[in-house]
Amino acid sequence: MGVMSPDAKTDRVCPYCPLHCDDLIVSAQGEILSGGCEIACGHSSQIPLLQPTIAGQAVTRQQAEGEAARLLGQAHAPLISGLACDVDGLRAAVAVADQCRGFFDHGASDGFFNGLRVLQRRGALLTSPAEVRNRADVLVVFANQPWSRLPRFFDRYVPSGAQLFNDAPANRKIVLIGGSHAPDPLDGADVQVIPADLSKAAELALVLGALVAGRTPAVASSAGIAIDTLKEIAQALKAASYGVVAWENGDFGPHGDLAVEALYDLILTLNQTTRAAGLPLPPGGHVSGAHQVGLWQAGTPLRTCFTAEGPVYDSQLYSRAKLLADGRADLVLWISAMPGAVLPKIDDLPVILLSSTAPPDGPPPRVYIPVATPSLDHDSVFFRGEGVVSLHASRWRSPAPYLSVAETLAQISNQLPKGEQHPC
Amino acid sequence: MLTRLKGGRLYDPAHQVDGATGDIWIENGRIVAKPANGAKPDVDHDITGMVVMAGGIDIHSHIGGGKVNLARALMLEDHETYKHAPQDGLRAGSGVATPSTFSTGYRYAQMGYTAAFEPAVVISNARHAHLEMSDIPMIDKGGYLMLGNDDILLQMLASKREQSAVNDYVALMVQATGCIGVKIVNPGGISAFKFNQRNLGLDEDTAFYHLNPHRIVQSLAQAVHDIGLVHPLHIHCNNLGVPGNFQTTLDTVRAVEGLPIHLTHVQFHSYGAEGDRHFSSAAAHIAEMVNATPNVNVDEGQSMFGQTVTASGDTMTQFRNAGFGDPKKSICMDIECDGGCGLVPFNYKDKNFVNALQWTIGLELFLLVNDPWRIFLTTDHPNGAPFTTYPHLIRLLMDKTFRNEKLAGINKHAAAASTLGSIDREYSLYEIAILTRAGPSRILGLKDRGHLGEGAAADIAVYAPHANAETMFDTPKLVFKDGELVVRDGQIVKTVWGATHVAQCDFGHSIEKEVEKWFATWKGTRFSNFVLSKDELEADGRSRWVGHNLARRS
Ligand code: SF4
Ligand SMILES: [Zn+2]
Repeated sequence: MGVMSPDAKTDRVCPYCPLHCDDLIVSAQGEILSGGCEIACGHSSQIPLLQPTIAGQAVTRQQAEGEAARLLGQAHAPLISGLACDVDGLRAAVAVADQCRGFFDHGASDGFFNGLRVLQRRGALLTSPAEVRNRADVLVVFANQPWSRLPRFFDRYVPSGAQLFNDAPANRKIVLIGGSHAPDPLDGADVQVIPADLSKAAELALVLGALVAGRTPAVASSAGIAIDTLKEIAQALKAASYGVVAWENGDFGPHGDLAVEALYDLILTLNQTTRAAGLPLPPGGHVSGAHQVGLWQAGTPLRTCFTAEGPVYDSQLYSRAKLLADGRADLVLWISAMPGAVLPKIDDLPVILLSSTAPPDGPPPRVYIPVATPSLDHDSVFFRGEGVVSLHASRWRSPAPYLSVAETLAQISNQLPKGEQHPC
Repeated sequence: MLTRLKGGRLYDPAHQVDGATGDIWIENGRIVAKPANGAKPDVDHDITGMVVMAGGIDIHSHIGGGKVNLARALMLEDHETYKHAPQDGLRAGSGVATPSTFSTGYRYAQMGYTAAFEPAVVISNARHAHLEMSDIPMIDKGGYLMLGNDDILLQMLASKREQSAVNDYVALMVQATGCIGVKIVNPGGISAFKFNQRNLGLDEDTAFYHLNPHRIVQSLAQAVHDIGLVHPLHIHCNNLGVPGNFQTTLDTVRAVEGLPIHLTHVQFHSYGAEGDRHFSSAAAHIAEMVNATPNVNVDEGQSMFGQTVTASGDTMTQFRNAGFGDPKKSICMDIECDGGCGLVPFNYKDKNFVNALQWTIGLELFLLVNDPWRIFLTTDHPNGAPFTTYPHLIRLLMDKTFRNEKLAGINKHAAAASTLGSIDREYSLYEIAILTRAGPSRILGLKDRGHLGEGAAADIAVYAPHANAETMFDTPKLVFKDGELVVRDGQIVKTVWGATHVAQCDFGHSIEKEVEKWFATWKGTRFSNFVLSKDELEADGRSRWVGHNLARRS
């Protein structure tokens, strides 16, 4: 932490996790002076020295862009993924996927799809951070350790102090199911921590849902929680004026959508008599932004293939993991301008990596192009993780010597063979 | 470059031109006078005998924002069925009820429309709405900000703050969100639903704020008038879809005591509760009120048969209607102490009594409201039907024989209950031009759109006359956007980017401080990162922010 100077910049938006706290104060050099959590402050404010490469050999940026365009032009089924970047970068990425008839999926979307599949099949009844902050009198969270990746979660969603619509915020009840301990800012609040095995979350949610519906399932416990404890939770939710059920999509294992669906049913039951709503915890790597931008530009969510007939969506077949496992992609364009979508190990395909950090250890990608970090190096827009609010982030420091993702993709796109170019 | 459209039949109600033959000259994107020096056009389009109108303007169409995107995610089948590949420089896209942004722009242009306005911008979602609109090519855009369920305003009203403070707040938020109008949806009801109220009548108090919708509407209508917005308060009344709700609609008009207002998707608010099924048409009552009340404008919200999705800010109503979902699923969301949204897929069936009667009620309204300047052609896309049904709707209005054929095919009880078959009125081309061009531009204050006079933006649609009005309006011969030929024979020949229309308001400095504090304290975010600016909007190189300066009245 540095010393406040007159040229310090206020209200800066943090790019390091999906909460996108926007009250940071940074120095003219981009060093965090105030507001940053341990994750944010753990990132160096130094501009990294990075060099474009082709097959590990240093080249100029133009050479690297040319090679990327050549590879994309040749590819029949490129996978455009990673997608950890700002909204303008995402717009450009969808355009490239469209232009090259590629697959489009975020690099860390597995958990997100547990929720999206249920939303598409059954629906959803959701709330958003400011409602939780001002209205929730009971908050039940199904998650293992959300605050280790979302350090300021509790400070942002359930800060101590007054709530607009709850006369007795001190009585607000917070139940953390699955977590092993409460985070520090919650000391003093009414917090109950209940260890649980969240791989059994589907069963747990069904049992809790039955209790809320007034039935008593013939089990002594579920996911390691005694039935009497579950009865108390069900009672608290029923008695709440505005109960919020939050969950970490990624903690529910491979069939996590069943758990999400059972939680949805539970929320619907609660709403027969009182108000309650769901809150998926915000996913990392700007998944929410990638989802929104892909959806409005293509009409289909992530996991879309831009075919000769138009966009085709398949939440199973077109996941990047499945595509790589099935050998259906013949090139990978991976975008990682901010944390949350680390390039996986890919041995058998050429990779074009656009990243604000050095390539991971191991064999070098076919093409590597360093890019600027959104928010730090250039004005950007982010969707916060809940997907409702998008923020304008003014840059923190004088620009890094790298182009943004959007600019880099525009350079590449302009060099794609004719017929693959877009006028817009 | 000088362009001439030669020999068309001009329909320009703003200048009382009703089918007169004439030439139109275009230079630098504008309609200009015939050059006095006898200059020859660089491009000459011989359109002898063809129908020429200004580009269509859709005053109420849910084209972009978080709610629309949620609807896209929900409407899987719509996107599986309707999709198009990238070709000839166009982007790929999908969906008809909830089209992708590129598809939206292409389809509007292909029908001769050159502007559409998103009527439900949630405060906290305003940037998202603009991001989507920035990705809609071909047309001009703008948004109406939803107020009246935002806790800051409700708190101001509950604590009896003076009207001038409300005016300042409304002006600040319209400016900060880059909108051109203000809409109120189920006044007070979206907030009340968060407190577990399930219905809210116009004179019923909300449980928490002890405010009734009457007071909220009154104050907002006043604010919209006082800050000088051209478009009057855009009102989605309480009790949407509820049998007998026409009374709420009439009461809402009384509540504003003569202030100018716009009642939106009035079809959904013109229901009686008579008959065996306790559902009947009250179109005659509503039309009579409109005819007698010059301060009231309405848009239609016509429903059409087929699959669509209802997408609304009205969480209270959508939660109540979730059971009607077809397919059976729905989304509701409480949003940021600002509002909410609700999505329910819907399939209007011509053999279903209620759906069929809704269709007749909409058409009755169209035909019973006398002044075409005060009723606007909408389907409340996608709530009543996708906007792509407009050519069909225009034929229903223009062609009595066709209308009666269709009437004969719907649910018999509904057909028997309706007066539609006895109405002889047929809209003329001139009146259609009012409904879809001249009227919307006037009520939105778009001085250089919606007409063919000198100085107007050259947004022009040219149609080949046809006995079947649907055929005619479905596939224009030529469409120009800001003077550029963008559609020929219904095909896009050039991608262009329209402007975003934004009201520029004055407001006192103290309200800004107050709102900044509210954001920091209750929303946990900074107002400075929320405010939209011209620079930000235009940074992508294709959006253009057109400011409309307001003269504050109070
Ligand atoms: S909680 Fe997240 S957004 Fe907030 S400062 Fe830490 S890393 Fe940044
Ligand atoms: Zn609407």
